[in-house]
Amino acid sequence: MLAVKNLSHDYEGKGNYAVRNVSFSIPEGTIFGFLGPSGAGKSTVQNILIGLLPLQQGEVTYTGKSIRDQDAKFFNQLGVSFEHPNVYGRLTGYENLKYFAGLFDVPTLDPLKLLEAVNLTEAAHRKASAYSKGMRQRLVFARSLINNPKMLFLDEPTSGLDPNTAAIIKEIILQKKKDGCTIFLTTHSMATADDLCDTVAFLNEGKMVAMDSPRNLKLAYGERSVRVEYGDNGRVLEQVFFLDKAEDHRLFTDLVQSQRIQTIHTQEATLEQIFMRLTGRGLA
Amino acid sequence: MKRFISMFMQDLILANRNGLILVTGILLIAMLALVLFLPKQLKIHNEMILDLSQGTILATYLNNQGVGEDVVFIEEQEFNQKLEKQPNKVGVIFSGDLENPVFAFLINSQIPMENINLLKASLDRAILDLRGESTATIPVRFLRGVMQTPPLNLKIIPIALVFEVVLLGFFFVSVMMFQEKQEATLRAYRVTPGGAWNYILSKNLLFIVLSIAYGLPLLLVGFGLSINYGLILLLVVMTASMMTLISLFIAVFFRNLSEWFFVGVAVLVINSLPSISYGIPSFSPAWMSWIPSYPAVFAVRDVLFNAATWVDVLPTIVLLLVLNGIGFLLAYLAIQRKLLKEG
Repeated sequence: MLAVKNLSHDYEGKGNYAVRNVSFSIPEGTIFGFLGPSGAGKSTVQNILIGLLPLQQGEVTYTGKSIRDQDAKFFNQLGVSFEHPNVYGRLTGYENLKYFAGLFDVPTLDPLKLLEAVNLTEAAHRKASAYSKGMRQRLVFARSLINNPKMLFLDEPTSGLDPNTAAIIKEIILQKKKDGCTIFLTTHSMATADDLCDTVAFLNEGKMVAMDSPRNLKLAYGERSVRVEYGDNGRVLEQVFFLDKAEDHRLFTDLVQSQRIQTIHTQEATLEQIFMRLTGRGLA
Repeated sequence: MKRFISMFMQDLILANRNGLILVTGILLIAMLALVLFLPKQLKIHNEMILDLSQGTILATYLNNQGVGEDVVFIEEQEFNQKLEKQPNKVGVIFSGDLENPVFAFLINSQIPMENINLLKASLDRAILDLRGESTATIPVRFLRGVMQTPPLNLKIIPIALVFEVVLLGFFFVSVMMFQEKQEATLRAYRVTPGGAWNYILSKNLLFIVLSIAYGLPLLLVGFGLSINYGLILLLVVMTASMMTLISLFIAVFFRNLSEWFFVGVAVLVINSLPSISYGIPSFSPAWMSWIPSYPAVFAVRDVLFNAATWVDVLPTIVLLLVLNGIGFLLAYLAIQRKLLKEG
């Protein structure tokens, strides 16, 4: 289990905290979604968790052992998929994976099988510099799995991927979870977070503003609403009614009685709407 | 060991795809061509002498001293024709006899008076020799043992071993690091158990292997099996290693080749300065000997041409060992504390 307690980080040491008093824990075999707009402090937290930034204040423990006490072997348990696809352009996809496989002290997965899993078999022996951004993104994702990690950090793993490929990646992530892997997922994609995460945390201006399962967040912060399409003098109009508001409730009832309704859908609040309600800003 | 081999193989592939092995191969072929086809001696005479004396005694004397027929003439017409075609040469016409020698100088271009006077002194000495009035031999004391003048085609080998391959290594190891910075692959490396130690040793071994692959054929073609290969390769390896470590240390502090360029080239130029002293041994100011490549190139020369032994070059080996140690420490600290933290 990964536990983070009162984590704060100040890059310049002048009291301008990039993250402040962030606490959460991720049980083994679960997926934790970290959501927030650019500059919210997501990367700072992730970089501290994977050892790229020193731990200044607070505590981070992996199965009870502080990150301060971890040695190089700690990285044998870690897989990191970076948002920007950082691969050796002059090496082929296969060579990239083979090289990184050689860096770990633990048994590693077959590079060709991993490439096959992310639909890169045909490009396995082409130089990575000739890959599209989406292909490189998949290669970086495959690389994060090469050492069969117990703790996986995924930064925007489906960014720039077509829906079919994104679905494949999501399927692999869920399979890793089933295998007992603990996953820390950073994403802007609410749909991805909704699909994958057991727990999501909202980070805004360096502070956690909410943390729970997507369903509980929707129940706690969402508003019951219906989206209605209705006819009006030959035109089709669309309107959303929030049923907990008296005025919306009255208008909706009037519309039902007028028998002009063509379609009607119930709606639940999206994670993005909840984030906006909590912070007054969007996730983009 | 598995990790180190994986890194070394990756560096080897990258060196190949960056053209380093090709460039080293081309450079090796060029140097082999020089060793094979450059003459062993290159005699350049700046003077042409016409002997109009009775019996051409001066011409005979000079010929006996090994001066060629392209320098000494007894036919005035031939002399004039050749001098006309080579206006930068000094023409000297000898007439009279041994008791009353007369020298006339024909100068077409700006020749320093120092050179003219040295030529006059040489001619006076020749006349004294012919008269049998030669002065006593000037005593010569050799400070570093008597050494035969190396053949010209082999004399370039120490330069190639100490400066050229090192130059390539110094340049390319920086290029490789800048590529890793640009591609941000160092961030990915940082979250593996790789560490600074393997990173340094892998790149260092790559350039050691390249320096041997470059140096060994040159030595075999130039010297056959007549030299102490263990000693010479040790010197080459230590020099290449030292420069790779310095290059790694410096490259950490720059983001790309453009930023590195002036500092990198300055280091390379300074490191290459001892090649001047190698070509002109009388030009050896004290500060020049502080440059690490200075003792290295002269130690290589002594092993190749003066049969120097382990004992003779031990001070240089110790110095290079110390410099390698310092270089490794600097590179390790810079990579561990800076490159792998921000990479």
